[in-house]
Amino acid sequence: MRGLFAKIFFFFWVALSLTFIISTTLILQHRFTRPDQIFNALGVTLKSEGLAAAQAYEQGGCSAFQQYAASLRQSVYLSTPVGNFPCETENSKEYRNALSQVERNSSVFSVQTSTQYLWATAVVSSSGRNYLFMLATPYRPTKQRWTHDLWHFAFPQLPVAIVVFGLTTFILVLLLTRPIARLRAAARDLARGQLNTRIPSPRREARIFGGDEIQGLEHDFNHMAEQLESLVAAQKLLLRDVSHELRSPLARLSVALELAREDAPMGMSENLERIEREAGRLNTLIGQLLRLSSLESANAIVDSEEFSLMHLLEELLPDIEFEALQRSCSIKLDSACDCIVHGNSELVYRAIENIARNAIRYTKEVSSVDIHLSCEMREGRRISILRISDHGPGLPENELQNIFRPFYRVDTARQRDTGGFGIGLAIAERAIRLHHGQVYAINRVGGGITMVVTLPCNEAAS
Amino acid sequence: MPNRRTLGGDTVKTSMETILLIDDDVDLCAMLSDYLGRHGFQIASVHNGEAGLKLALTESYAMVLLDVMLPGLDGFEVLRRLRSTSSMNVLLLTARGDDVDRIVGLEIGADDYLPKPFNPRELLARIRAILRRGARAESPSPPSKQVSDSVSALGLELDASARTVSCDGKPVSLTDVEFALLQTLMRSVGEVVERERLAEAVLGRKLHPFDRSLDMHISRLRRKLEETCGLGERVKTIRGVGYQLAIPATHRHRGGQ
Repeated sequence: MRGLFAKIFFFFWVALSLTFIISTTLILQHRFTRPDQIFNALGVTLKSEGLAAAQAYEQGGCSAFQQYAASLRQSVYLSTPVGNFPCETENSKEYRNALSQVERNSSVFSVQTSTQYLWATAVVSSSGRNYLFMLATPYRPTKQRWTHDLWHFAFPQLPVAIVVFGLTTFILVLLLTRPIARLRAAARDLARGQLNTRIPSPRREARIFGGDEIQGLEHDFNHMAEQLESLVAAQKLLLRDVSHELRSPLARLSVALELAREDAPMGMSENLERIEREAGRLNTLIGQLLRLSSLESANAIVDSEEFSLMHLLEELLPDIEFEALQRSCSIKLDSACDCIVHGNSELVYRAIENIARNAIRYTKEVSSVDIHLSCEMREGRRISILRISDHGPGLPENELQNIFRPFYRVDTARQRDTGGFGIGLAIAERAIRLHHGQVYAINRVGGGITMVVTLPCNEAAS
Repeated sequence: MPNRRTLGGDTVKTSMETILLIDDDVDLCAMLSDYLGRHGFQIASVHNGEAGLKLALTESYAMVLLDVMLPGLDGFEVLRRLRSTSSMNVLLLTARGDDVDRIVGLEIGADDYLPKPFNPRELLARIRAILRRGARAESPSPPSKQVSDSVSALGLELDASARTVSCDGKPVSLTDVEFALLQTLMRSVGEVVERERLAEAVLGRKLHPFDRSLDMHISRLRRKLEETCGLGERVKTIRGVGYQLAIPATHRHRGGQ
């Protein structure tokens, strides 16, 4: 989400700032008109003023010209085309020298002297005599550069504008990305299996853009989540109901079978035993299914208590050792520490039992199943880590997550000769998750699988 | 319970004992009647809670097989009402996969439970265990005759032949399981009795690792003793081992037998 935020923010900010800079530049460029335009405008003014000055001089002599010059409030001079100043003029010599050297290639031309800058134009008076009319401006030796002007014009506005753009863009991007971040978090929760996840109804900022596309998306997301939840619930309910309903016929079947066994002639008993075994298997399966569905619908642990994980493992050991013996396997249990877990000990026991039985089922004959308990601090919390490793064939990496799905089978042929329903691990996973723990499988380096169970725990009181 | 009292522990197989079966599954009732009939029990079956409760309260049966899931009055309610006046043996048939059922059932006062669907042989074994215990409590079998029929400790008087318990002279009404529990604990007063031994003696079977039946019975017994004469605390739980009927220092001169 940070990525999208940064991208939109950066692009918008830069775009707005650039727009500002470019438009300011263009405006400045237009304001500083080109030199020829200045010359034209200057020429028109100078010519009309020059005509008036020549008129004044011809009618009233130097005094009239001085009067007129004073009315202009600028330093103006009148001379003959070769540079003779008829009226008294400071620096007239210098001006004359300068005038004699300059090229008069346009109606208005400029002359530079040591202290003054002269703008000069040729005028013809009404009596037909030629004059030069000059406007003097003080000479500035260092001409200011164009960029300096830009900076001069940009200085207060540009930083302010950039900051304002930054702020507005920030708010805009926040408005855009906040709902997306919410959506993403909700989608992640949904994927994690929390099907009751909904995006909360729009808050203040959403009211500003009431009913926009993002809000529509949130609405659709909620609708989708609702549909998902009801579908999954219906599916689970179906599984549970079917299992429930199967119990009654199965109960009758077991009694009928027992009656049949008592009446049956000798030759039948073998088949009846087979039927009984299958009925027993069906019974176990139904029990497991119902256990799974009750675990899935449970939100909290009932019958919570504190128990020692090591103690629980020691209790479990004789149970699974019996099973391991039938495959000529041994079970090695060692622990680096003991942990006190808070939860339902039966659920944890069954979970670990299921995982251990699974390991025994897959480990090679005449090998071992290693159970190792250790503790770790993770994010300030104490975690117990139980590793149950088998020496079996292992699994392809992409199958490792799937084995916790009910009825998932990696290899039908192998599953058949090892028995089992493929539901024990699903039960274990739900039970551990209910205790805020995790179960996952990793392939061992030397072959086989290590099932890792993590559970939050406390240190055992010595 | 006169018909139960006339029976000895070893005569169960030959004489007919009547068991009340309350289950709404008519076919199952018929087959169970047939099956249990072959093993020396007479079955009276009822298919709803009200009728079952009425029969259980008016007639006397060796025990009641009570299904939890009944239309109308459910099994728990039947058991609750039955327990308010009677200490008749009740084996609860709970739904498999529902752990809450068995805990609730035992809390209300079922003597034992069996998840349904069950293996009929298992049912037969449970029935026999319950009836044997009842019979032993009334007329002790030879080995227990060496010990006297009545035990007393802490002001508790237990008369096995009359199947009565009194506490400071006040009578305590106990179910067969609770009676057997108290009897076992009183015979080794002050000592810790292991869970396994208690389960064997009282429930007639081994406990699964997470079978809470015994604890439930203990807590009911404790409550009854507490209500009658404040002795509930004397029944101590020894974690991970078993239970003990503890003697306080002041009672030590009266303790034991």
